[in-house]
Amino acid sequence: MKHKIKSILLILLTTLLLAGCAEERILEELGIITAYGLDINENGDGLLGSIATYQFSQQRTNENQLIFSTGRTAREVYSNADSKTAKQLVNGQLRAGLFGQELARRGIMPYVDGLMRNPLISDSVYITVTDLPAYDVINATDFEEAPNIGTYIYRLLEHAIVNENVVQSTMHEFVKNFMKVGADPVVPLLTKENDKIIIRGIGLFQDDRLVETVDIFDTFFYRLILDEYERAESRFTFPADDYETDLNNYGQGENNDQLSVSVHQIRSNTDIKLADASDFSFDVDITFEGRITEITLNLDLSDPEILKKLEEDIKEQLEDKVNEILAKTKELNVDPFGIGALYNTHFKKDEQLSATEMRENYPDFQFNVNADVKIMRYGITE
Amino acid sequence: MKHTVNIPDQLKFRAAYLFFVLYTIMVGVGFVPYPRDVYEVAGQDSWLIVILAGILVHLVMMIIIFCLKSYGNTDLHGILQQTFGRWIGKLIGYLFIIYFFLVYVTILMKYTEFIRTFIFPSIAEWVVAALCSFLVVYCIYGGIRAIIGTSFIFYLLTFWLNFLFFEPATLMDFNNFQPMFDIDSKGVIQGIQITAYTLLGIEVIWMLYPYVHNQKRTMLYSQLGILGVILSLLSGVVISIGYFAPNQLIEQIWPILTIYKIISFPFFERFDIFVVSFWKFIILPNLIFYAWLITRSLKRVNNIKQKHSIWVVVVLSSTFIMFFKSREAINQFVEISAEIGIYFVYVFPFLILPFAIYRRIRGANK
Repeated sequence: MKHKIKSILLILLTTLLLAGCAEERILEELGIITAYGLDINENGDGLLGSIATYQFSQQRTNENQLIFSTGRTAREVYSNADSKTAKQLVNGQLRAGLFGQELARRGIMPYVDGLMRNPLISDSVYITVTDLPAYDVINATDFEEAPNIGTYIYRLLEHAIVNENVVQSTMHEFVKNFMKVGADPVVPLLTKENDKIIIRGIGLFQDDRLVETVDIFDTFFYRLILDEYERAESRFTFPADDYETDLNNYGQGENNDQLSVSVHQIRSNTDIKLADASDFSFDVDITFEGRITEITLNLDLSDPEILKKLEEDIKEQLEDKVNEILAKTKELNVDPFGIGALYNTHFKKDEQLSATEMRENYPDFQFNVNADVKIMRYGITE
Repeated sequence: MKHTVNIPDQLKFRAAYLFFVLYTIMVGVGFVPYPRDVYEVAGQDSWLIVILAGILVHLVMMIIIFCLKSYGNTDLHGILQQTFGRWIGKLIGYLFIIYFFLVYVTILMKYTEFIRTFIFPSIAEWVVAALCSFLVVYCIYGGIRAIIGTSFIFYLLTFWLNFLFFEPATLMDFNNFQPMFDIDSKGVIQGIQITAYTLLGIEVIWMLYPYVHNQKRTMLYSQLGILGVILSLLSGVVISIGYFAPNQLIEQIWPILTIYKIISFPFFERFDIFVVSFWKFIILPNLIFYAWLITRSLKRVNNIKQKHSIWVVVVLSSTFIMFFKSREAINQFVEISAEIGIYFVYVFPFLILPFAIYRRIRGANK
């Protein structure tokens, strides 16, 4: 009995001490940061931060507030913002970081590093760049039924990533590709349209500097080379003349000189292999299996010859596009596909190229692109 | 001091529990920074190091159990005094006690550092120490069966953390393992050394052996326990290498905790915070076992009651950790005690081995 009382006392004492340790955080007194945007300020010597907070109050539900503040470091922006609100700002719920294009072109790693260093911030925060200044984009007031702008951006990107329209862009991915020798980060590009945030494409980075933006149509091919595809869709267009003999009469109104096909991808595989190390040549083999979801001219798809011709045309266009993209990355000297890192895996540590050597040599990389396209199905009609 | 240890039957436990004992004592604070430490010397071949070091630990365990079996029903201090005589035996016994104490302090220090980095930046060291100590004292008062029971329960509470690696595993890049076998002998030796620090804890068998009911099965279950630990360490290392970019892994202070930062459930968004708090369940058995080793040793050598000596351990360790504030100081201390540990855990059994063999031969001749 005596023993029992003793142990109960011990437990009580421990809980008492434990409870005393915790800092109290009352929901109504917090401003929960869900997204923040960073830009260069007007003078060009510091940062302009726009912090989207989510606040709870007893009178009104789901209060959104945007706080603007300035500072030299992102952390200073944050502490300055703290003095502009009566609520205590907390950043554990941060969903997305938006970096204005102008700032992104100067390099964003110092700010991402600040997020990385903070144990309270999740690694799955989305890193994005914005077409317009970030403060303008984050100011959008239409965020569908999402409770706040941060959650909206999070849902927008998550949905786009699941539907494979853009690349995976968590902070972890960004830092990983930044750190890797022979790889550069790629992030989604956001913009504002009709007072609503939308995805416009992707931004290519050289180290931590934005160098080029790519629109959503080309993004398909970037992701195809990155080999992350499972269910995306793209459109191919050819001159209709090639198919003249096989045409049935429909869609013969305007635009009948163009044949457009939407292909939904069923399975694809991109295999990049080092062919010859001495002249940096690589074989890029793309296997692409798809099904036709829409076609602007009426073709007899059950005819194997027509289908074959279609496959050939798609293959040709795919190869051209991939070649064009690879040439562009060489010209910009960015390596979004991690081909340099792939090159290095073939060598022992002391023979590997360093980051600067990689930059010098990347424009000399040779790619031999080879696609293999198969149309597996074409819906429930012929 | 009597050389043979006769434990009453009601205090003995079955050999199967050794699996949980070894798992809970070997998995500890060392696991969290380990992938980065080994990566620094062994690069993408770190997984190979884990396997090699694992084989070594299995081997050392075999030798320890061989020695224990040759000496009959006794523990570390019984063996020491039988082989080296009363005074030298006692001296080595004290050295062991100091070593156990050092390990106890390093565990406390490392855990305090976690708590301060992740949850409460300004909490005082002694508060964390006191909170842990209460539970340690409770277990020591409860005796050996309470300790074994704790380790069993804490095993059940924590082993599922291994399954959380599933999500990070889907984000792995297998190119990070290329080129394979790009490692020199110096890297292998350094890597094994680092791994050996992490896998300290098998020395507990020196003291626990007399408590085992069916001693014939000691070997089986303790080796299984080690295997479980090695596999869990291996999965941690493989996933860390695949998950991080090479240069990124080197910059992580606690790669395993950083990996948990990506895990999020609809009902529990920030799982890493949970894991840090939960890590206490991994730390506690460590602390309890080392506290038990210290107090049990003191009882064997000097016949001091465990219920008295535990308070000395608590007070001394709590004051001790107050002297180490910065990360550098802590790291230095941990490194030194780990280096000492190598000798006590891995070299010492080889020292006893010839005597054990001699005993066996003499026994056979009789």
